[in-house]
Amino acid sequence: MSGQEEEKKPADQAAHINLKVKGQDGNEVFFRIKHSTQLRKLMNAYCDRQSVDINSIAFLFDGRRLRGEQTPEELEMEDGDEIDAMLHQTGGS
Amino acid sequence: MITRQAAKTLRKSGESTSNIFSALPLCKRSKRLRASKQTNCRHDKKLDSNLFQSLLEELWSRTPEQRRRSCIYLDCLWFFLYKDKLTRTKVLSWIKKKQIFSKRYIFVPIVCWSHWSLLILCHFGEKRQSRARKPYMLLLDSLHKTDPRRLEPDIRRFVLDIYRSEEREENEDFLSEIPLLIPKVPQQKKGEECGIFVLYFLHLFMQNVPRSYTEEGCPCFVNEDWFKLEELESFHNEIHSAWKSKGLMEVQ
Repeated sequence: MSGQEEEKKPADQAAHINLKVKGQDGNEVFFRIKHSTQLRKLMNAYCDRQSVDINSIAFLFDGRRLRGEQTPEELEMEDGDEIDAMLHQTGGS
Repeated sequence: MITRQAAKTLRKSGESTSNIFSALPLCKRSKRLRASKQTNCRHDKKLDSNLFQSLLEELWSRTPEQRRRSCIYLDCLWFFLYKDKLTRTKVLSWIKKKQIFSKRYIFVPIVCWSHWSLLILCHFGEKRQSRARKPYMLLLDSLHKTDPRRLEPDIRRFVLDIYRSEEREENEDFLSEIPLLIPKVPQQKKGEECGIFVLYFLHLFMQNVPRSYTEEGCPCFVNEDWFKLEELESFHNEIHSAWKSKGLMEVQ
């Protein structure tokens, strides 16, 4: 299952990157986004697809928290890189 | 108060929604909220790992460089994810990249069984034969009646795995003898404050990086009368509003 922006014009190839989002249960969802697109778009799309609130998920790239305004370019992401989508935990008593 | 409409506008402005939204009580958030527990509405003082991490980062950035220099912290979800077999190897590789053994104090926030506590790995980088202080671990927990010792098997395995992945020479016997101290510390009165206690433990520890120790080997300042609950409360208010105002300023 591949994500958004299915059209593959050769000229655009270099501008795009394939990213894998892996859930805590091991399920994988693939996305194709531009190097310069804010990752918020991917995060929203993932959460919509899984029907979860965006605030309940921690997106980690190499263990570091992703922020919505960051882009693959900024983080030097490469084709095929993996993002972990982990459920936030709450602690009280 | 930020209304849903205002929140929408903020989102459109392209700023970090996660920060803004987590400042709101859960029950006032989007109706799309399905996965997270609805019961949280009654406990909006409880910290989830989203807000906890933001406050931790805020706290860190406010601490003078000279106090931070000998310290490092791990993301507050890492220990939890380490406990999960599916993510264990990954977490160890993340830790390896942080080169934690170059620091004297390693803060490991723990969220397990819906409870926050703080593990501090002390003097782990010291050479085995050196005359410097031997390694020890401190587990600070604001709710001793839940028996913090229940975490010991996981903590020991965690430490062993870290040593292995860093390819250190210490053997298993040496590691199993590293003391895990669980000193008496001020205790929470309500059912929701453990997260802020952990942040305050961390803050005070960095302010008073240990110089003298009790007979049991615990830093002298860590005890039942370490701080008053009013001090905790004002710390809470301060760190929360500092973080909040920062978040809002970024939007403008």
